Amino acid sequence: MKNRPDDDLDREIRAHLELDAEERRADGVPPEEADYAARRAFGNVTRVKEASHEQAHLVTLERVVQDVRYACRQIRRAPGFAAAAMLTLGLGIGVNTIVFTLLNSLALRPMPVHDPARLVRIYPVGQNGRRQNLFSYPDYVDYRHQLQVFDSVIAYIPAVVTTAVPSGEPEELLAYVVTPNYFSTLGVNLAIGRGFLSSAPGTSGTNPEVVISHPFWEQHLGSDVNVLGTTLMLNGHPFTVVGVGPSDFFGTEPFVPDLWVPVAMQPQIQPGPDLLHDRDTGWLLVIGRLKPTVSASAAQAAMTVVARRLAAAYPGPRRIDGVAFAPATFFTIDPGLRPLIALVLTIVGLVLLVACANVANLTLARATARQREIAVRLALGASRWRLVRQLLTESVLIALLGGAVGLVLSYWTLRALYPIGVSLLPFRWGTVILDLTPDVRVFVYTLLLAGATAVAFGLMPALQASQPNLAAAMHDEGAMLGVGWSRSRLRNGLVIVQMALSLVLLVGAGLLARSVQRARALDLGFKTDGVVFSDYDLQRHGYAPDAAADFNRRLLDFARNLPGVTSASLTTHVPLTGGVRRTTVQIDRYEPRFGEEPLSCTYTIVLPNYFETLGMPIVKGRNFTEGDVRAASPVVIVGDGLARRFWPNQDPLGRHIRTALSSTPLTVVGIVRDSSDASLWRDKEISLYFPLSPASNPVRVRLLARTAGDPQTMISALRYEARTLDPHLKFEATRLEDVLRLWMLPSRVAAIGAAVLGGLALLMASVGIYGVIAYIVSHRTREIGVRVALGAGRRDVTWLVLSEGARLVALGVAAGLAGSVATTRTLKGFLFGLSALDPVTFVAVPLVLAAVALAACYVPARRAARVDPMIALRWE
Amino acid sequence: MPLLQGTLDLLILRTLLFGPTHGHGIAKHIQRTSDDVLQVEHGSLYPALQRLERAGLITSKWEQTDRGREMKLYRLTPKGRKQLAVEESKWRTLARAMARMLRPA
Repeated sequence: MKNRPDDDLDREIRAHLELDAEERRADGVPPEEADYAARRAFGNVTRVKEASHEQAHLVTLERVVQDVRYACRQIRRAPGFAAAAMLTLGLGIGVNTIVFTLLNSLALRPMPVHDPARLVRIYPVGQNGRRQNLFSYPDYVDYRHQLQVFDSVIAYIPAVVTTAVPSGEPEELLAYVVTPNYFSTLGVNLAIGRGFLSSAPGTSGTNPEVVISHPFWEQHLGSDVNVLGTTLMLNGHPFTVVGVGPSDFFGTEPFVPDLWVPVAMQPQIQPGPDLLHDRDTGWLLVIGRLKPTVSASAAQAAMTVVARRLAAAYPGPRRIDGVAFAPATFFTIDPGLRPLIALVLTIVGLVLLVACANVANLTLARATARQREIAVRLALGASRWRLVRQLLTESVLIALLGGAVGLVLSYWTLRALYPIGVSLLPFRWGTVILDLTPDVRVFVYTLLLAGATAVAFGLMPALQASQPNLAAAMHDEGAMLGVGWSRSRLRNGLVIVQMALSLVLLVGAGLLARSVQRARALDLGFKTDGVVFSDYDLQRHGYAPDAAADFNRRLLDFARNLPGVTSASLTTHVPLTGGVRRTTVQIDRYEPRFGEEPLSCTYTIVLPNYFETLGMPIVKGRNFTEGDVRAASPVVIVGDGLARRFWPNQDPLGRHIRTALSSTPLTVVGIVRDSSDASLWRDKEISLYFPLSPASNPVRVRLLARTAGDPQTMISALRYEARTLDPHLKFEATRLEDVLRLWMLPSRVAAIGAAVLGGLALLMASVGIYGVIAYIVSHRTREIGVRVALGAGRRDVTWLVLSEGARLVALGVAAGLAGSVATTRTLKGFLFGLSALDPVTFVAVPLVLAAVALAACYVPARRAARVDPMIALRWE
Repeated sequence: MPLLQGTLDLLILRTLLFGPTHGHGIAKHIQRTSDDVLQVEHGSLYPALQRLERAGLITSKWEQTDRGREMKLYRLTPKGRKQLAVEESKWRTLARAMARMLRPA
């Protein structure tokens, strides 16, 4: 069926030739000559066929196949080049695929449940138009009744519970507090049991049932098939097991739950205020399953109407003004994270660019080697477009192979790094489940990336190589003259770009590394060495205030009497551990300037030993006394920032401040230095300290102790004592230094990542500059030979070549420095007490880069110096 | 004398105005009518015929000639006729202009 037009044309040409010959015979030409003459008059039959064929199908599949076959042949002919290009691109594409795979599994991949396309996450939108995360339970109930757009709506929240399991040791588990329709809405079938009855939840605390996860069932209950009906103690309350989850369901957040409990049991799971009847406190994440006939936008409009009606019906401070929908993926990307994601994508994009520049240079060099072949084909009448297409086909093929290499690399890397990454996370996030196997999205992304890469590194060399500068190229020397010039400018430009991009990456890595190093010596305002703090939640265990106070006192006495312990205190908050409390401060006899916001301070309620334990000197005034504690005196110790701001050059002692916490004015009795209480990222805040009197709520305090000995010994001793005091209490003791290390983790990971990527880029750039210099040397062998013959020494020749390289390096470094200055500002949030233009980094990194690059140039320079003038001149 | 770029299409259309003809006939007619000044390259003739056919200016059909030979005959379509008129007037304008320019001063 192929080529019907061709057959037709064949027949037409045959008829033409026969007719012509016949006419010639009629004119008296001898028969054999007539045939020949007709053929001669017609010209090249094949050429005619080709011409008509060409215009019949501008791009035929046939042609593409031909190009691919040709490209395969070319690649096979230069396996070294192909391997280098593939590996370079594979690395570049691989790092991009890693980032995309992570992004995909976090934010793009739908949840592994039945028909995830119809699930939407629903968020409240505040009156300021900003999206919030959590709904209150009464609001959820009202939305759930709007069933004209949803088949059903679920709400849930992860919560940590303590359980007593048969093995004895109390254990913290991650539970999801869920509405009873959770499993049925998601379309998840339990492995065992009926699950929660999908009726409306009764009154608080009347539904003590639990569904356990498959891993929990296996690990803690020995896969007992008769598990239904057994009792599990959660926070000291009995729960009946009514189901076991399927082995392939891990909940609706990346944090894998051990169990699910119905929302009616919230007061037992999260002791404290009853949230089931509180319309002003949001605490539930909400997911809805859209009716098949309703579009997401229509549903959103309908829900917004409901939200406004509810806002009118229940006026209050936290009323919401509408809802926002998002696809039900594991994570929805917090808008605050977008710059970080953009930064990471930019960095890996830069690495790929360096790889492209490198391969472009390789391709150029190869095109030069193929100059004669290309010139011959041009001379034989191949069109330039055709040649460009063929060269591009080669590039696409190489890029696709590189993409395949990148895909495999990324898969291996992620598989290797995943366990390490998970082990770095603190326990309270539970087990994180991320499915990192590449799916269609990852494949398509890599394919598109490879395609773009092919154009990026292949188009310019292809256009260059196919320049119809025949005469010059047909001679061997041509490459050195005319054509060579603009081409070498392109090559040099690519090397400079590579140098510059690598420098930007390395400067970023250097800044992050220096900041991590500096953070160890960072002045936090307190000292972490030898300090241990304990974390335990008496509230969750149902302690009454008296019992809690007793427990805390006995633990404190125990800690104080441990050998090596120099100081111990109770406190409501341990610096940098989250949950800092804030209040606003008013100063007596201080007139706020117009529009001045009330000052927000962090506050901590402490025993007098707190300052000694954390190594915070009282710089002025006095510490709290036992009398202050006993009498709950209205005194306060403040950070020096407060004193500087309100009483500059005056004595702050004896002044009075008021807080939003109580109406009693507080007398300032002491000053300490400001410290990083809440966050390492932010500037230091002003802290207030109040005495921890017995009247203060003692249910949620922490123990803080400093030892001169081994902190690990103290941790073991504290754990032992806590178990003696209450065997059911989940008790944790941690070094404060470990907390600091956790804070540094993102910077450390970023520094390592940037260093690896920067190193990769530097390696590629070095190979790039090596290639260019080696190329220059090989094409100037004769010139070098002449110089040596005329008396130039080896050192002169080496110097000549090196200076060529040095010029490129200098230009690259200059461009890279400019780029770094322009971009390192984006790193600001990750740098602790380090300027984004840190001079040490900005001097040291370019020096290292220049040294490495010049070392790469030195190899071909030495080769140039060893050129034998006789051989060089006879060559060619 | 080789043909000017773009004139071949005009010449083909013009030749077909006198009736359906095959490729060889078109080439011969152009050559003869121009007193052998214009040489038609077969390498461009057949592609040109295909191009014109695709543009709908001519049609083709295998037919018996009066001498009993099976030949592919090309025929002008109404659209081709119109196009010919347009091309002719364009060419005349150009030729007049060229002639004026090249007239001995």
